[in-house]
Amino acid sequence: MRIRSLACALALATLAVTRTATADPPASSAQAAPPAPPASSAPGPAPTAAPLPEAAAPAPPDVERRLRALEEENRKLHDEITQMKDDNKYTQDQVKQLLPLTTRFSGFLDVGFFYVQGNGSGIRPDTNYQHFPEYNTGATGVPGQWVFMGDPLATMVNARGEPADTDGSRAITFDPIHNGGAPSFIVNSLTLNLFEGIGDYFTLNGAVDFVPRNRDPSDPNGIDLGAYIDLRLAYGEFIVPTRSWDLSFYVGRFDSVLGIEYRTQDAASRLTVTPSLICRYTCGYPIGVKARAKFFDEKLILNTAITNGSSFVEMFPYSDEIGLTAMKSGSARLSYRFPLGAGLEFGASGLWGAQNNQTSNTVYQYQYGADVSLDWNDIILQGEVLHGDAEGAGTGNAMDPPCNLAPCLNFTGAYGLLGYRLFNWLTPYARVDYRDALHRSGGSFVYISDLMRTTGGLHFEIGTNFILKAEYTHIIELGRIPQFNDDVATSSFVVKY
Amino acid sequence: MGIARAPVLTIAAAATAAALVFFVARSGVPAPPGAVGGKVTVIADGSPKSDASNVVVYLEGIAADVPPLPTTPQIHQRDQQFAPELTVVTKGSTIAFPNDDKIFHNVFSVSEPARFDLGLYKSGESKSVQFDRPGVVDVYCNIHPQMAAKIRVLDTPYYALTAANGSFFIPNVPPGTYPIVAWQPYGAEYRGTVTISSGGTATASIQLTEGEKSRRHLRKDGQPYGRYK
Repeated sequence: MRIRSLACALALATLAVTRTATADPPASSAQAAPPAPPASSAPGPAPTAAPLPEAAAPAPPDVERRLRALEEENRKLHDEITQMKDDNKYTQDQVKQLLPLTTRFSGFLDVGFFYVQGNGSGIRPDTNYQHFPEYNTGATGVPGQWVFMGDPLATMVNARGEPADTDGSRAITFDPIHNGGAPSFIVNSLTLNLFEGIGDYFTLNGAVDFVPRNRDPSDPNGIDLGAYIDLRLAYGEFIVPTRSWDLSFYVGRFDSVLGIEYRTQDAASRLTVTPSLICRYTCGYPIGVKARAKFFDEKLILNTAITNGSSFVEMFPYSDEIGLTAMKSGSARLSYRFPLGAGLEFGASGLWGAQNNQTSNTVYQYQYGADVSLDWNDIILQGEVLHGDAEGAGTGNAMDPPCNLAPCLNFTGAYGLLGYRLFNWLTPYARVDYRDALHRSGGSFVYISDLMRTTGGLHFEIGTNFILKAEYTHIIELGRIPQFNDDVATSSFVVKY
Repeated sequence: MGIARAPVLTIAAAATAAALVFFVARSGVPAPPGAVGGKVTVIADGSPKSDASNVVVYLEGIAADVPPLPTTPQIHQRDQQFAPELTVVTKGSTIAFPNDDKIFHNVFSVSEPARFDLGLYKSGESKSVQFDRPGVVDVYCNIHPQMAAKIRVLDTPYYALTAANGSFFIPNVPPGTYPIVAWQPYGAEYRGTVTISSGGTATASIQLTEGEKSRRHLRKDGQPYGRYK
């Protein structure tokens, strides 16, 4: 069978050769092929196996031609790949250069609308010593119009903690909003965050608030500062390349180490519109050096700092940006995080050092507190309690009012915040906060603060760039302080960029 | 006569068997597969760990088709963590990344075998990635630095994950001698050889020393993470 097939193939090949010889051969094969027999010999006997190589002879040039074509095509493809690799590398390099630009600068715009009852202020003077007659002691007392009941920052309307009005306050004379309680739109801040990683172990961080506010050029007291810039953060962080635990050093103006509220005090990261009553003691930005260490897979965290002054916010006294004393303030926080949900964290923190806003190294202030936070099953829970004292100084003369050389402040406060992520876009929340404080500066002023606030609000997160928040705060004056109208309704629309 | 026929039958039977073996060998029918099993001991702080799970043991050098996994494994973003923290797939497989949290996450990887950036999305959404190249893929969240997961993409179907007691078993392996590798997410891997006979089960006893879990990593743009959150 095979032999018969082979014979047939040979016959066909012979026939093909014969026909090829009579046709015009292609130029290329004409050169390579042996000379064709004359036409007259065509009728001769059929060739045997001998002509077979001649029949296959045109194939090698064809294969070679195809090989050359393939090689050429391969070379072109190789060139194209090389070119594409070069292009890709160039694009990658460009992306590497451009990407950090989007992260070096970020921030948000925070605008809102608010209304505060009464005159917008959280304090009222006890002009006739009706409620606090103990300060009506002549030379050692305080004039009635400077005996203030309530809290000058209780009517805060934005994430910066600015009150709608401070009225006739003497301890806090800076009154950036000062609108007397009228409903008002407000641009709370245009915030610019700067972040730059320098190598793998150093970061540069900054945060600036641009704050547009009233300016009254006719006001001789100058309490209307006008638009201003608040450089909140300016620090470098060195990440020590340890292996079994984490350690970072910070230098500059950085976040406080006290409590937990400072972590989310920006409008863009805060659940609520306004800070708690005790944020004034823990949400400041002290200047100095700080170290933070994390142990046991980041469960145990120790944060320590040496700073010029306390961690009070600038809106409240006792916050030294530039040191007035040789003695500095030391603060620390120790916390432990349990693996419940996104974390159940307990912390304790404290501060001790020379009192701020005075020059003696032997007048001290301290504070200590505890905090808890939980993020579990879409429940957000935060709570803090703290107590502190700035002992102040007086002449000691029985004829002089106390705290006439350095103001005295004794305070206790707490807050609890509960939120629930009902939907991807909606988180209702409720907060209760409390503050009991006595703040006196000789015969210049005394503030008796004893109040509780209850706040309810809604937090809408619209896509990745927009946040809308609205809340209502009812303020309850406690103790001998009469109830007055100072409830706050405020909102915030944040556009992140 | 009967006595004389017995040797003839024996010879015939032997010849038949030999012919069968010859033809089976010639016809390409594979020998019955074997298996390899054993135990991995993970040393941590100088003593064996009680939980020796999540060690990947696999064989190299076996020519075989590597089909992608028939199912799509999921790596969840839940409570600001990835779950599970280790996923093993064969190349060509697809992994889904559902976000179970009602907050934004941004899953990304800059590892050589698979570079991807899934962008920001919240709960109810899931995005998927196909892994075509073998290797180790480190997966992070661009917002939450504590979120980290590893994906081991293999180009062999002959692998197993250890149980909590360190035991493993790789069935249906063609007989032969192959490199065996034990890989752990953190720490050096083990490399050795194993000989698997037809129909038999080879035993391997492997010891690994656990390394430090490297927590620090950069964001997708190569920058360190920012302020404390």
